[in-house]
Amino acid sequence: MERYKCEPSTIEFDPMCDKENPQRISFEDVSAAAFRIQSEIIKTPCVKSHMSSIFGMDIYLKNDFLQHTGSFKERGARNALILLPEEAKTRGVISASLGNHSQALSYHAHKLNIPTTVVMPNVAPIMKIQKCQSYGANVIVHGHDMKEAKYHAMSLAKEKNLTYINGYDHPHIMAGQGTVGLEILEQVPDVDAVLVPVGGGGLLAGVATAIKHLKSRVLIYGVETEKCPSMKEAMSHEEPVSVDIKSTLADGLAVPTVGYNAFRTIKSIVDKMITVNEDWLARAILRLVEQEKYVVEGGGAVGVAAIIAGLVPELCGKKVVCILSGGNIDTTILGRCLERGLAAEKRLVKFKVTVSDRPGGIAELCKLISSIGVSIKDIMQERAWVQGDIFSVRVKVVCETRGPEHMDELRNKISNSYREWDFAGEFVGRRGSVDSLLDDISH
Amino acid sequence: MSRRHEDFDEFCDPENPRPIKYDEVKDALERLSPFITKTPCMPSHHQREFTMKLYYKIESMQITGSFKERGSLNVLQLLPLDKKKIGVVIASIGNDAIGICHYGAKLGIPVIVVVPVTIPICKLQNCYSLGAKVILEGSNLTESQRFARSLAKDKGLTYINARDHPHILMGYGTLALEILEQIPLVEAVIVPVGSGGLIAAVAAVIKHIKPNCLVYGVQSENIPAFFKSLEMDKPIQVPMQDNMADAISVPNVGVNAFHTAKTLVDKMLLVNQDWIARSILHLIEKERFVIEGAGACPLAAILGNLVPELKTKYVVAILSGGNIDYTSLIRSLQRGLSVIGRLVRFSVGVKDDPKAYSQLLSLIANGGYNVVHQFQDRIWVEGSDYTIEIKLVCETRNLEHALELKRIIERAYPYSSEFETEPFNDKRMCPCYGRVAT
Repeated sequence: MERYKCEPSTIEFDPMCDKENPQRISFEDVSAAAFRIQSEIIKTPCVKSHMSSIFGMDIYLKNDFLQHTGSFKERGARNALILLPEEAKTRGVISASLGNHSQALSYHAHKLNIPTTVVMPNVAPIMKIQKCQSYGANVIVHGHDMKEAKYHAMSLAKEKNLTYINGYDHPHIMAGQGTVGLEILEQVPDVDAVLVPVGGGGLLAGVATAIKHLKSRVLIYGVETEKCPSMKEAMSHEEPVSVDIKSTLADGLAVPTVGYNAFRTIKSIVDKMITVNEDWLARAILRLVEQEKYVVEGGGAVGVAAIIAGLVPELCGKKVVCILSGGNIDTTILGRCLERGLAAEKRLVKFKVTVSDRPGGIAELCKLISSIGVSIKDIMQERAWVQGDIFSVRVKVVCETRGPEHMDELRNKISNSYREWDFAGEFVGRRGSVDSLLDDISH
Repeated sequence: MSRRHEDFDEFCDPENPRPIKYDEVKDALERLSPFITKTPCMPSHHQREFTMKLYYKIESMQITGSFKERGSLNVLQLLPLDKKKIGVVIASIGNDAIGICHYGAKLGIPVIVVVPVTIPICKLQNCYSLGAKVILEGSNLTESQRFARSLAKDKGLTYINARDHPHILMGYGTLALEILEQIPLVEAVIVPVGSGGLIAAVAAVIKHIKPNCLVYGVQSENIPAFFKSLEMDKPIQVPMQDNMADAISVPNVGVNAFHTAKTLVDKMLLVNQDWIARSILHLIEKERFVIEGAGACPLAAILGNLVPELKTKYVVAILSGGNIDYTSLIRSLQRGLSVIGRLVRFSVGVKDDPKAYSQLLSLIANGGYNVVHQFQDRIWVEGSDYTIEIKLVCETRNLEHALELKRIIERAYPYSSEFETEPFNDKRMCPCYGRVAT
């Protein structure tokens, strides 16, 4: 580790993450990190999933959301903090991060008595700002997006002589993240493949280094969301390039450019990169909540999303480990994901039907719907834009069903009893919109 | 007496209650261990804030999502062979049905399940998908049990009282054996109580091995059947009410369970719905587990400050299950958020023109609040004809942030704003006021 010198960074130029001089981490870095962090990092369980039989493969879930701050980032953060030279520890550290890295850094810096400052853009969710403050960090809200926040952080670093720690590309951080790989090999020795979520690439770099060194025949797949395919673009251009990020459910993975050190490390050792569609992410979160009873954030659920989207058919019959990297999902967003997931699985159905506006018209509709065991969630009525008979009202119904067959049963009942009706999925389908066809997988 | 004929179940006879024996539990453990997951007993991330060494026994990680499968597997394995071929009938409100269906399918035993019509959809769906025959009958568990018994008699099947059969209680006892093995220093165990099966089994085992360890039971204050029964020293029935903790919503106690538990349980606690909502929220946000209302009751007792005597001790809270359906989950989350002041509802009267409306919304946005829901009322407004009342639900960071919102709005709209709900009304109770069950 001595060969990495920690110099204070100038603005825009972080010597630890230098484009011209990318560094590879080695297996020794990862194994040293494992010993260094073991006293305070939880060795999370790697349990067999209840979904294994459905997908025809032995799925194991590495529950790294059970770490204290809710994500695997603690491993890298603790490693980096312990490795700081003494004067840097007293001066303090600073980082710009929207989420898990800032929390992990704040928590462990507080434990190690190192002063921390965290800069977040003003779009940061309320809960995350709260959490960092509760771990003892000095939180500064500045800038409209991550770029401005990062610039501000780096200028503060220069001004106050703090050490800037990049959340995914610092070699010490990557080495720490790699300890997940070591634990996986210990807990599931005959693993065949590991699915790793990819944001900036730090976790993928660490895990790939660790596992490929010990057991090179294990397949390492990186999984990203299609709204931010930074690693895929980097692989196709042979170097990290900047990608436009659109707002995504996997906000922990929303990094426009992958790390230089990370890319250099994984370029030759990763077997495949996969991109998943956001709908599958919502469904994966729903599955993990309903069947495994885990609360996992979007970025952590990408591995499971890839499996349920059918993007890894070659892994059928094999032992696959999915790293559930984090569980810090905002409660409101969790609610929305569950609804989106239910809608995607056709368990939440929306349709319109025209009924008579006389007393009893809507009551009859409700009776019809509940007679087949469908539960009504919401009803809205609209009178002005109905064509035809003045005594009709158009009713929009949102209801909960047991699944696609139940929904068909509902559709048949409605179509047999009413003349004008419209089920949401079909309506959009008629327009030929590709986005709504839920089985369409974009790779 | 005709009633005796109808309700008589030889294993759950009030005249002849069967206590749970420790040796039977040990046998059960051996029988079950190849199949049942030995769930982890994880330390809470909030041990410092609660000032107790709190551990969670996470039974939601079982395959069927609750601890009930321990009992189900045991009773099915102990059935005589001829009865196994013919089949069983049970009455259940959810989790035990799923357990019996799952192992019935595995062991090849035909299963019929009678459920009351108030069963949550997700549990019903689980039963269907496991291939059992499900009959919806009765408005609460007692009626379903009566129907199941008569069905069994008609068709010659075996009726199993899924909440009180001695073999089932033996199976539950294996949970206590695991706790003693995983946390040998345990000083108190907090158990959710419905008909009392789990607490009877846990108390029987723990008091046998470690008599100094305290066993506390928690019930919802809406349906305190076991609590009242212990007070009166005999099993009594209480009226049914709607409850967030649906898995422990039973009006009766189990006779075997009551007989075993009445001398062994140290204390019974009652929690209200708000605390249950808060603990579900806490477990989701801080520990990242999805736990159903009944399973969250032990933590609700801690959050409601009902057990100050357990501070600095080793406490194990049994999170008995995670089968919560999405509607209840969302509702509990919102309830929990509103109780701690992170979701507030208020109404403001503004002039009916676009500028006034956008002014109000920018005021709210500048304070960092997120508008979750809003409703404009033009019809039932008192006062001038050009005012509309806007009802808003906003998300805030915490209680102080919510109070700041009240100050901002009242300053800007001094005569037309109304904050009726908690945390602003005078009905708010100080959170440290604990209602202790006497």
